Amino acid sequence: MIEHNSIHAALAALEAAPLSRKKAMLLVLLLDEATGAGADDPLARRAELAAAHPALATVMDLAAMRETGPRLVLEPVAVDAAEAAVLREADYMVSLYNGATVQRLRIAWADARRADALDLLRRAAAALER
Amino acid sequence: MPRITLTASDGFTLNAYRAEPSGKPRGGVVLLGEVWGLNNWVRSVAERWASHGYLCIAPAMFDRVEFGYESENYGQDQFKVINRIFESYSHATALLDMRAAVEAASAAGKVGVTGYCFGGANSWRAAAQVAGVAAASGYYGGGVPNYIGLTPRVPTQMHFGTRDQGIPLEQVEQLKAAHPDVDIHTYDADHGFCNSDRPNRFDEAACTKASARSLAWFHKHLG
Repeated sequence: MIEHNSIHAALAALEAAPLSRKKAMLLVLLLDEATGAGADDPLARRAELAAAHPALATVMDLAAMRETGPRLVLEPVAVDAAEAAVLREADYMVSLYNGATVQRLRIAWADARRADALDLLRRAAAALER
Repeated sequence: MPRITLTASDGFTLNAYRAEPSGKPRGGVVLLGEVWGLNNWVRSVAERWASHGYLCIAPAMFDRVEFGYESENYGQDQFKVINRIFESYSHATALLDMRAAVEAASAAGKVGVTGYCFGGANSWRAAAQVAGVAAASGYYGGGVPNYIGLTPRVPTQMHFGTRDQGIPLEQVEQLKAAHPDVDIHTYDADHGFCNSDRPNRFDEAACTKASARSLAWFHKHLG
């Protein structure tokens, strides 16, 4: 049984190191494990949660680690002047001498779709709290 | 005179700060600062290298874009200026400027290159691409994917903070795996942990430890 404290701790660790694929994956696995925990019919409960919360559905896909499924990737993302104003300082500093790009941890699908990993995992964690 | 000029191989003249040791030099050190140019902190680091017995040359790496640029303004508003500078900055000509600094420092013997943040990444580039460099010790050079493909030709050391939100630790791990001969150290610290003019960034314990390693590295490889 996964304690919510573990999820909180994993999310806090990811917030502190938002470019860490390992910390993100740990959170993914904890969230995934929690989706069916304590349910009489874990598969039904997971299906219900996935239908209600797209972020949790993505978490389940990530945790499944299918060959063609989504993956966590660290990649450069272009920043424009408006975005630069809200970047963390270290992020911004490094972007200056790296072609106005910052590294971002994203969820990548085979069809080239991308989503910000931290944002999605925050939403998934919040969905489980409800 | 601590303020000097250097002439790069393409004829461009740039500013530099020169800190001279009191006795016979052990060697030369080229110091590459952060994005604020040859400011107070960079000059203080140059003087520290001189106190350790090295002739230290800190080139003004932004002179090709904005001649004489240096700033003590660490605030957000300065980032707009820095951003504009980097729109015209060229890694190719930066190599020429670093080479000019290495030539000047070589008057004292073997030359090591060190630098912080932007200068840390350039320390790696110098180790791989600048002639006359004998060793390098770089600090929290961002953009690892942009230099991981360059192989240092001289003994190289790097220092990174484990809490650096601009440089993922996993990229540091990749750097280490791709270049097992490079001496890579991590510290429980954030980006910019050696800048003592920035109390919110400075981590004295981490910086003292890293600086001692740089000094030992240059003692070993320069003299």
